[in-house]
Amino acid sequence: MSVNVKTQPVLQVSGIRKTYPGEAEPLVVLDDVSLTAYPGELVSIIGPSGCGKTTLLRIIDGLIPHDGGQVKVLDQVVDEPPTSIAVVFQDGRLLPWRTVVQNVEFALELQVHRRLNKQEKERAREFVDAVGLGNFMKHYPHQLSGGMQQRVGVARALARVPDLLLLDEPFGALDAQTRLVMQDWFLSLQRRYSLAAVLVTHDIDEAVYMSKRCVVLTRQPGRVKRVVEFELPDARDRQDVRSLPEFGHYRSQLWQLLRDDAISDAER
Amino acid sequence: MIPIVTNDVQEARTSTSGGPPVPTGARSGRGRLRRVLSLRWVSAKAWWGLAGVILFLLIWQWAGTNTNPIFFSTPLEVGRAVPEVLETGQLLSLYLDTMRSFAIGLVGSMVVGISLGILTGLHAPTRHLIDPLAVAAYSTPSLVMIPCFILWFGIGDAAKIALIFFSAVFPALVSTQLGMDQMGPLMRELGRSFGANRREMLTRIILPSIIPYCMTGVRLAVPRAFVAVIAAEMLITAQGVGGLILQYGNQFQTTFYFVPVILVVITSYVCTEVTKQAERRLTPWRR
Repeated sequence: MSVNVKTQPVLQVSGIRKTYPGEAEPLVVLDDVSLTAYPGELVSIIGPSGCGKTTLLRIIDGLIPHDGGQVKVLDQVVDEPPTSIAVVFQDGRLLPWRTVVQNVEFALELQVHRRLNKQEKERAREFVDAVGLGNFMKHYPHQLSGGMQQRVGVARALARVPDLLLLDEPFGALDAQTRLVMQDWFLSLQRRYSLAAVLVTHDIDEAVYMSKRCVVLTRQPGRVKRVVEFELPDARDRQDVRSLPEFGHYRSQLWQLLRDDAISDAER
Repeated sequence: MIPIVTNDVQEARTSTSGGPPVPTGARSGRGRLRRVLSLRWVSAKAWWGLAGVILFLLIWQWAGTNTNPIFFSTPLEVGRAVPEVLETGQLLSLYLDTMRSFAIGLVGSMVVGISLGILTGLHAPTRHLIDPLAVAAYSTPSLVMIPCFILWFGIGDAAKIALIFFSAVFPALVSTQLGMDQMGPLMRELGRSFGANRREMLTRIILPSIIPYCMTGVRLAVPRAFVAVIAAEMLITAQGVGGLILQYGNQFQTTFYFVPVILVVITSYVCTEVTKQAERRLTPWRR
């Protein structure tokens, strides 16, 4: 079992190509993008704005079609949103008319396709407890801070008991300190559930701190420029990884890879 | 100023003790009664509003006192005329008549307007097809339809209800369509990602997200429906409260005339407040 778990990837993305109809010729957004995630692994995708990071995430979730290549989750080819994947959206995207616990129940309702029974409702409450919002069950999203809303988004995703979690710049809209707190919080959660996750980010520090491996994309078309493995201690939330010399090394390595695209971005 | 305020307090006190029965459970009942009588539950805003109304009545009384009674009246005389209007004018039955038409027309137009808004909102070509027409009908003063409705429906309740329906259906339709537009693709994407089927997409995402817009439609429709019912009664059926207003006006019975007018004022005020409260109750997630 353990050997099987180690060897079988949760996610296999191979040679993905995505084009949109252009004026003269089709606009290539993603070209030959491949990545792999194993159980318990957090892989990040980083790239300049407009490199198709979010598009790639949508393709992995089966929300939009692609023009070449293949996405496999646990050896199943993805073409429609699979039950094995859950997404944490950039803007939280909670249902404003539902309370915290009802937002989590939403995920369960769409899995069983009927009204929830008592145990299922209890499970929803457990997931709210798990993200530390037990005292805010009956609050509406607008009554919560950005960080708390994003926790609800994570609880809703976890309630699906997914094999793979997709995170689309989940902490991008938060202020700097809340973001650091949320990163640690998510790492401990990810370790507890030994989740496989793909994290889309534009924050270099976040990529190095949170992930085991980082896929660097180029801009227009989005291609894999480099895959960087981070040889850093696990359980990063428990030690001061940011002050290690390796951390600085990886950080500047990613910046070197991104700089040209970022500069041309800024001057555009 | 000071005597006015004490006046308010006394009036409000008598009205609350004469209002709904206060539960008289042993000790807590007493405490509650005392709390109700202390009048702390009435907000400062409400006191000012009541003071405004009383100030208005005082000015009206003063202005009406030395005027020819054909042209004007006073609140005290109007108050004294109430029993007579109830008796000879059969105000109550006319009022129920008016409100029944109002309710039928309003509920019918809300059901049709909101359903049509959802259906057309789900299908972009249909939505664009009827959009200019709906907006045009929304902006048209519905009273222009009166001659037409008389020809089609006669001078009875049917024409009246048709006018109410025509006045109220388009605000409901246009607001619901706006809600369908505002939802945007992101919420639907959320539904798809979490595995919603078509029915769930409708019941768990689309319908709840347009409730605030539907309620806005209701809020816009209520005063228009009110204008329509009174206008229809004055100009088509010559019955109901509107008919009575017209009759007293034509007979120069100015004091009597003010009784149904004040009833209409109070009713439309209550309807507006009830709609506002309903909107707040139905959309607790909005501040």
